[in-house]
Amino acid sequence: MLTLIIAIIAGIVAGTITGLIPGLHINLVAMLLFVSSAFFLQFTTPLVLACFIVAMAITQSFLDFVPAIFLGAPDEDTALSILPGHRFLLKGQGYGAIRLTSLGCLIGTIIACIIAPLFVVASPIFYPILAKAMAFILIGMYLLLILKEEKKILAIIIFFLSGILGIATLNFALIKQPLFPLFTGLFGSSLLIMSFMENTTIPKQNLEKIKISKKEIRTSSILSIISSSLVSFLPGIGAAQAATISSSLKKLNEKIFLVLLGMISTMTMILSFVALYAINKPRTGMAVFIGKLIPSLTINQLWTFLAIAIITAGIAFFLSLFFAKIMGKNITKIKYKWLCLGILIFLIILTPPVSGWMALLILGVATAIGILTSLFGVKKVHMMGSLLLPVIVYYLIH
Amino acid sequence: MQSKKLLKISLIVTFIGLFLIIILANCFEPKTTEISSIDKKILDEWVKVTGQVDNLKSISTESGYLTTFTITDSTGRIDVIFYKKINLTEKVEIIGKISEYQGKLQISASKIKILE
Repeated sequence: MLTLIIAIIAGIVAGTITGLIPGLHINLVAMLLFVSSAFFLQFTTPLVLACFIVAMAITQSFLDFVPAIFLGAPDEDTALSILPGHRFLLKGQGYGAIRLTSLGCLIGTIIACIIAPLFVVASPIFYPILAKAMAFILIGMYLLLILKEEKKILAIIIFFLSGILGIATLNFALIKQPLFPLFTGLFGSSLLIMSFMENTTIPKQNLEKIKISKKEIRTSSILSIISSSLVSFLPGIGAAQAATISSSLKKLNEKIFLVLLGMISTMTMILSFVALYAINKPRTGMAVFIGKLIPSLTINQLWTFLAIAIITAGIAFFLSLFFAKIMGKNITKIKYKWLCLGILIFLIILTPPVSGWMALLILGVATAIGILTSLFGVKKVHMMGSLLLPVIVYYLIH
Repeated sequence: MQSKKLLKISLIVTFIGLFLIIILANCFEPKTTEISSIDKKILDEWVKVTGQVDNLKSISTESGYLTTFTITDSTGRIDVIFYKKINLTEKVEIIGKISEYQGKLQISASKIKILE
């Protein structure tokens, strides 16, 4: 019991650190844990290590929104597109925006745990039907994303550039942990460089709540259940794509979109653990590592994960508000540009030991594609072509 | 003005970089690895292994063919999976990624070259 409590606390600490540093993914920590699992297993069981991963994954889902909203906001007068979270930041409501995503994450955790038994029963029935047409379902999902995009041609260009980079990186024999330089470049360092280059003036932040009605929360909940359930079956599609697809089902205001984003973030993570048990397919990096630690997951182990997810979510909710408050109070005082530069240098230094020297080339190209996405004013979800295109090609070939 | 310059730089880095990555990915092969040195630490990493094939089986799955066999070198043996139907009775060179199935390490081969 004591080792389990230590594992949960360690998972929350690790999830907080990886969540607060953009580009530093939890996959890296899970991989380090897995590589050193022989050492840890002298003192504990695979279940305890898996519980660490669950706690880390849930915490990171909450904390991830803090840098995503407080960093990388473009200049509102010159930006081609602006994310809902950044729009709130530029109105001085960054804290309120984090509160909405955190509320979404918390409700998403509860909903995922409630629908988990249904998912356990239904998945083995529906998955074989979906699996037969997987490539076409993924192509269909992407077409939905394209239909939502105003700049369709530019979005398709970004999708294919990211996709070609993804295929080349995943097949590059000299790159270890290929997803690290790929995602760090696409979603981390490009955001940091844009923040460094922009002359954005972040206004003084107020620490007030943004009010949201029960009806708006109900709308987000229904949409998140539909999209997260579907996404949990599909490889290469993540929370951001699910949120964009949801918003194509119904016109959403920015408050609902942020709550929805939070809900989907934790729901897809939790349902990926359920999918690991129900269909034996890992659909997130975290589920991959849990599957490696526990090759045959039992139903009792799954319930343990869900219980840990709820406990962790309760703590992570307050942690994300705590760090959002710190950021909100200090964002105008800290040297914003130098903070971004510092994190960027840290990520560049981290890349060779994790993935090899050649990974710097991947990092550079991925960063350039990330910057192009911002400059073109297309949504970042199209960069998920880096995973989606290799997956589609795989299913078409096999 | 600054964003135009950044756009130009990003376009150049993207296209030249992608071209370089594709060339390098096709030029570089992993170093030949002895089977005994394969362990969990190199999980998901690429390896090149040379050895003798045995226990070859090809089965039809929902998504196509799956060939499984064992490769043996002077230091040990390891299971190999390959997502195509292939007939091998000779010494081969395999390039693939180390994966784990039911707690056992295996090579998911992407290239197989018959040596003799």
